[in-house]
Amino acid sequence: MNEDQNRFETVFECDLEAISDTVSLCVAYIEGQIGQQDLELGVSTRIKWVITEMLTNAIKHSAVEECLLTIRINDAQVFFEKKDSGKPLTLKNYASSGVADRGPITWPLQEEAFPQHFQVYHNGSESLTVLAESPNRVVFYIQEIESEEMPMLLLNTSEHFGLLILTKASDHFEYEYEPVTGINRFRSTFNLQGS
Amino acid sequence: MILKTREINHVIQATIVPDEASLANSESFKEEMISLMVGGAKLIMVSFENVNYVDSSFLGSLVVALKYALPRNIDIYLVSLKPDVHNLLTLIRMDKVFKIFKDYAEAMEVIK
Repeated sequence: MNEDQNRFETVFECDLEAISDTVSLCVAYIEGQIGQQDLELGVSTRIKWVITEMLTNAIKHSAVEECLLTIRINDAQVFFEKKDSGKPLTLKNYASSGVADRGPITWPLQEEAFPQHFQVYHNGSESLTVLAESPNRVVFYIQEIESEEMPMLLLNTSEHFGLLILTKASDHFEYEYEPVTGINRFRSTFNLQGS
Repeated sequence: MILKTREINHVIQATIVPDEASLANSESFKEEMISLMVGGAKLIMVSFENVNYVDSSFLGSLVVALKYALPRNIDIYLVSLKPDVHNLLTLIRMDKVFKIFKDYAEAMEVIK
């Protein structure tokens, strides 16, 4: 663990039993720096959701023994980054209809021109889309779609919620792949009260 | 066992025992839910009264259970969600998919 006034680093050993303690450690640092009472209502909860999902994803998908967590804080924002050298993020590229699967997205992206938008998740009421401005970095965002009613709403809802939670709980969520080093960086940003 | 169950008037009340509903127990939860349905349950009320935190893996299992239930004319209600748990369901719009009640009593009232 490495801590100074505005920066905190800790290594997560990708142990399921360690998720809760690691989340508590990170949140305690943030609340200690900002003051629990100064965190906008809900920000602390959203930060917990994001850190938990990032750590869960590390265990489920990265196939690494550890990853580095970094928190930086300034007057306006909290930045959280998970860095590892495991498997690159797997994203499926769905057609805009949400029906036809156009296959997985591989890194670096092979598109001839940027920016590009890919729909990577679809449920009955919203679409999770990535904006790629370069071959190695994507920013996630939500597109509202015409809401369906049950039971179609359920049938069109994927049970994979991790990236959706990361995107909706963050004010900004992005992924970057470094092809030379094989390093993955997942970054979430949270805006602070009044900023 | 993740679920503590009891049957009242052909309704299964299934209370999640752990205080964290997460990757650590999501598979067990899914298996226990499907076992209840295979065993003949027509309505399962899942209580989150002990749950302080739920993650995407557990929510995924919940959706898988409902997808299993739907074509078999089985219903799943959620009850006693704490605010952070309810807020997470709302964030990902699962409050539109599940029938959610304040507690077992309110859920039992609607099926009378």
